[in-house]
Amino acid sequence: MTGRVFRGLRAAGRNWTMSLGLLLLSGVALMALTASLLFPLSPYDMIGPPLQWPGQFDGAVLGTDALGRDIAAGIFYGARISLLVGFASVACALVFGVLIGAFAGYYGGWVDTVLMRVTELFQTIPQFMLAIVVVAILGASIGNTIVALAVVSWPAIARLVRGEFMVIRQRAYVQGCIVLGMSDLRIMFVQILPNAISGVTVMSTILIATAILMESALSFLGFGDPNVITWGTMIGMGRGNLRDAWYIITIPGLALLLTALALNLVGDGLNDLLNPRLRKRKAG
Amino acid sequence: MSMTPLLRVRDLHCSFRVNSGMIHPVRGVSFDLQRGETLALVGESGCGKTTLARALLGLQPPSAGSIQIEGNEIAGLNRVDLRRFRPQMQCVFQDPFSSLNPRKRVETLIREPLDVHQKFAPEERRRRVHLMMEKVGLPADWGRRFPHEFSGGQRQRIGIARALILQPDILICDEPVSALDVSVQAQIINLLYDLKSDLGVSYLFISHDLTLVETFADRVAMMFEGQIVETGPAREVWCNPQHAFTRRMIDAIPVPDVTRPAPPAFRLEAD
Amino acid sequence: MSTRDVPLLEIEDLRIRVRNTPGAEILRGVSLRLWPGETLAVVGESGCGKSMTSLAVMGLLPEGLERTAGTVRLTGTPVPIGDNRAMRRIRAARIGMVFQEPMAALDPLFPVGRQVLEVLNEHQRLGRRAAWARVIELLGLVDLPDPERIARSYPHRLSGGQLQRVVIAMAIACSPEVLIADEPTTALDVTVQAQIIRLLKKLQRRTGVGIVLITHNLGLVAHSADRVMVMYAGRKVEEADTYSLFTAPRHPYTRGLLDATPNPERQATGGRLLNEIPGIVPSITDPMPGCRFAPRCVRRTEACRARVPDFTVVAGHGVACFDPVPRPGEVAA
Repeated sequence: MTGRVFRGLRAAGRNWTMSLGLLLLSGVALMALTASLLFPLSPYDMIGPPLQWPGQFDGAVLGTDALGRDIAAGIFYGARISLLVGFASVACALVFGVLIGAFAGYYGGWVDTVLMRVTELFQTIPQFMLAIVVVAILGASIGNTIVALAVVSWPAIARLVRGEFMVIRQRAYVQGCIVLGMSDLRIMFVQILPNAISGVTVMSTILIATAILMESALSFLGFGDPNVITWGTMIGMGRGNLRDAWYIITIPGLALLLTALALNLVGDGLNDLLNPRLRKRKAG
Repeated sequence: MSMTPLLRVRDLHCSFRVNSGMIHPVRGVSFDLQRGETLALVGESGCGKTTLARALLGLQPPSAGSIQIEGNEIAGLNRVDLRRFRPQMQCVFQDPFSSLNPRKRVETLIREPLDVHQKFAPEERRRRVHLMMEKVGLPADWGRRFPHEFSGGQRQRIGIARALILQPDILICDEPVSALDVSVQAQIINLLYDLKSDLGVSYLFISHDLTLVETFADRVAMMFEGQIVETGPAREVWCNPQHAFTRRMIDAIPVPDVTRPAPPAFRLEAD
Repeated sequence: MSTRDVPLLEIEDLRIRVRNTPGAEILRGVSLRLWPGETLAVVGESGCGKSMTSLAVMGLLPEGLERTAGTVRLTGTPVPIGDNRAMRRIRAARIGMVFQEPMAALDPLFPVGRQVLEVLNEHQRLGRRAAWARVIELLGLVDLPDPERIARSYPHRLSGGQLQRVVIAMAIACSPEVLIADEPTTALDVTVQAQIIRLLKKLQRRTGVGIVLITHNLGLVAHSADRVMVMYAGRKVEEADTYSLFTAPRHPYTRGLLDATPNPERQATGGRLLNEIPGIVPSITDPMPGCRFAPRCVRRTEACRARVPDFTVVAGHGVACFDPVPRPGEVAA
């Protein structure tokens, strides 16, 4: 009882940051959902005179870029790509990373050695370089960007899951399941995984933020899908006007910053919420 | 006796590699467990009793020797072949906190063994879970709760229910009460004792506490440095210890009785 | 000398509760006195507050707990247990402490001799050579063979019993007046347990240190303590000299605890293997108006549920119960 009261107070104290994060994130999601309703034209279409500052031209609240395209439309459509790429790539990385980590951590021995050497191989290559190489080989498209970001994200998940599995595997209840004659797969995914998932959840939110930033960087460098507009593309295209029209890159830059911040706040909040050490702490 | 013992262990050895080389915690252990019997395996930390239990449960392959359940050899079996013998031998662990999956409800925890071995129809499984909860003294309407809502003693009851629902012939209890308070310890020991005659299960009771074992076990096997150095009826071993190790242990056990002289190891003059 | 009239350690009406949680009291008014040269055993099951009492005396209350009342006196002078800086001069120097887990009490990164040395340096001004000689002497005092070699060993090289001896050496390094041993043998084998208890008794005989032995093991108490105090759910329920407590326990809880302890020299009564105490310890937040043992008690009366029984002392034997177990030969009321 005391524990519960404590926990409630502490969660309330910490969780306003998480609420802020969730609020920001749902804002971005709302932008993604309403993009085609609010901006029926393609964000690549010219809607007015070029280089209009925010508020200067009636048709574009956030102004226009060097080619007279609506920046607000770009932000809204860009939100779609950022969220899609972020969530999809981390989802793929999760499936792969959890599988590799679970097998390595549960079986140990040579299985662990082989799987972890492979994981380390991926980790030693700088992430962004690897992503560029993958996109360069597969070609620039949304699907390939997702693949590239999944390829660079999974090793971190695999290592985390492996560590959790190695610890939980030693618990008496897992030994008990073996004595009951439970199959390995059932022990791994029904008995151990639910107890290992909290750390993975927290890490996933941070990885989504990283993936979104990396996608922008890829687009900025021109490795993005040329058919869709993303925040990174907008920044890339606006950099020529940095001196006279800095708003062109500042607005998508802010959108990126707030999205990444929101995900980190949510991750932090989840960590407090799911961390068994904080949650289990009882008085007396 | 010509009857095959329920559990027959012959010349069992366990050894494994650690960082600093090979260790050999079990060095040729042999014993029989008869049907309906409670055999206690007593020793101090590091004597190999826990490794022996792990070997019997197939958690740690023995390096040599034989383990037979009703004449069937299980020592060399892999985990899949071993599964057939699992329902016959179950165990209760020492730590009531780590021995239950914290994310499963109590009724699931107790039902799981039946699910794994696909025994009975779902309706019958539910009935048996309730029956088992009643037998171990858990209120039937607590089935939807999670382990962390229970005290140590109650969790150990859940562990016992989970182990006994398959109706095993042998229950290996690895220090089942050493993490519990004295008053709760008595509750669990009494429960195990009652369940024994009720369900016809035989116990291999692993413990460091000879006084507890003396009240509970039929026979005692004293284990020292990986070997069984003395066996006999519990009362006999307590009153008339034969091996030097047993004598040394009994001399150090403080009995809660001030009308008797302090055990030799407690007397200051011993210096 | 009037030291016999002043208790070495005196705790009066110590109350500890969980901060910000109404009703969550861990200690509900505990008093004790330790006399020079005496061993006082504090007995109880988990959650009774016995360890919290010792931590409070050392000024080491865990975060989130606070003392709402109570004083601690050492040979008559109040101990500033709320003042962490002042307590640093009292810990180890005047009150030594031995913990349950010797491995946790030592730093795995340093040789044990150096850790004993650190305690000495904290409280005494000795030359380097003299200090090291004292370390070796202390390790010899706790019966460690070859103290020179042990002093240079790292904790993981030593057995549990040897480590506990090192911890005892640290606890007595500055010749404290009081030694608090919190479950000092619970993590050890019975043969080692006997050695450690004998060592404590030997040190006591030599230095006259007062020992508070906190334990759940009644057998240990029977053969090592002069006086026993039994605690239940944050209160002292019985206190007496060891002989009377074991031969004529008055509180039903003490009686139950003794009956529940396996004893090969006595057969259980009532047809059960062991005499259990039914039920479980109440939660610390349970707002019970009466005796906290009442729900589990076989002798409970109406009054037990309504009021807290006073702790009354008759002929040196104190008990907090409305209807205590009659003494042998006494007619039951």
